Amino acid sequence: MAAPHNLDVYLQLLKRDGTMILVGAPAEPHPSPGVFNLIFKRRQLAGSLIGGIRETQEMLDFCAQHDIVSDVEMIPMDYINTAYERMLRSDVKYRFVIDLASLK
Amino acid sequence: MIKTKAYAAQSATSELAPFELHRRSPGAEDVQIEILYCGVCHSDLHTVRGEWHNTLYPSVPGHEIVGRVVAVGDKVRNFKPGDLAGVGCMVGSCGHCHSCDEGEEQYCDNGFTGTYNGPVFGGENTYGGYSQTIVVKESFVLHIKHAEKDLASVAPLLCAGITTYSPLRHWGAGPGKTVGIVGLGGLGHMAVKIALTPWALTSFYLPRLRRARSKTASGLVPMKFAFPPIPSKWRLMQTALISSSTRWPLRTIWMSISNCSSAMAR
Repeated sequence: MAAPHNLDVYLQLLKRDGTMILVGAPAEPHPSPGVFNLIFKRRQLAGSLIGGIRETQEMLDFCAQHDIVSDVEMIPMDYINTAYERMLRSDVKYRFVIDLASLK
Repeated sequence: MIKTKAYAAQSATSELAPFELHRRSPGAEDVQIEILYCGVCHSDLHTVRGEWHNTLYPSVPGHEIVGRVVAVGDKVRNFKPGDLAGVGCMVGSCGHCHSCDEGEEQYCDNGFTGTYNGPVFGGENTYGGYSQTIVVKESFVLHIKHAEKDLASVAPLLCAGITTYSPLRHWGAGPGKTVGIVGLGGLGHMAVKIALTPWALTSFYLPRLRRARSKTASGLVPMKFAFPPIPSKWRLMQTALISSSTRWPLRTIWMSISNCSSAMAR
């Protein structure tokens, strides 16, 4: 998800030829940045969507090699509605994970 | 058909509740996975609440799936029962367009098949990882090489991990570059971890960005971490931001990727 935010403020932090990549998918139309913020420093505003299967495997292997995992809070399946409410308040560090053993 | 317990939303305004669905029996190229853990992505919430205006109900979300292979079809070569496996956001694509040919199935010209909420251009609905079992074509199943004890923490890599890894790679984050991350949530914290690998990063700064008052990051708080020495490769300073905002307060992490001749104490 992406909370609507002011792209211009972040674009202006970029040096010449810097790129801002959006990966959050907003639920409503998102305001566009100012054109001059792109033109005057040859900056780029780009988007990116997950990754292909080959790259996903590469990422998993990379994370296994470097011991990278997510910070999670484990929940039973029937906690999911509460989890959604907490997600909306950013009250999770940093991902809920459902233990499917709880789904009986 | 395999009867499977799941949790589904019946409409945009109903809560997720117990639901029974049927998975196809594994075909020749299929892998059947007993789902052990499934990460909760905000996309799940957007979908069940109809916020993208494309939800097929009943909706069973979940696309950060890790589990164990229980059965494989005759033509499956790379998985066997007992293997740890993962399923991410896709379970199919056209397989013959330019993007699929280049291994970028998520940009399939004909629309990839999502692990839940079916193919983009209509067709049968698909049900995701808030369920006991899933059957997926081998070419969309991933190997998990992490230790089994870490499996629950691996689940979010299947979406949050790849979503942040891909742009870091594509736009060339590495020594000599500065990376900023807007928002410390499910994706943001993964972006920090992935960029903070021993080969990439030696220090990062955690500023608080005062929105609507200043146009530049202020109040930089240097936070130094220990990393092994990294040979400097590129002097090009290119700043890339990965935006995955959570709500207030927004926090931005600026990470300076530079060379360092000695490790600093944590």
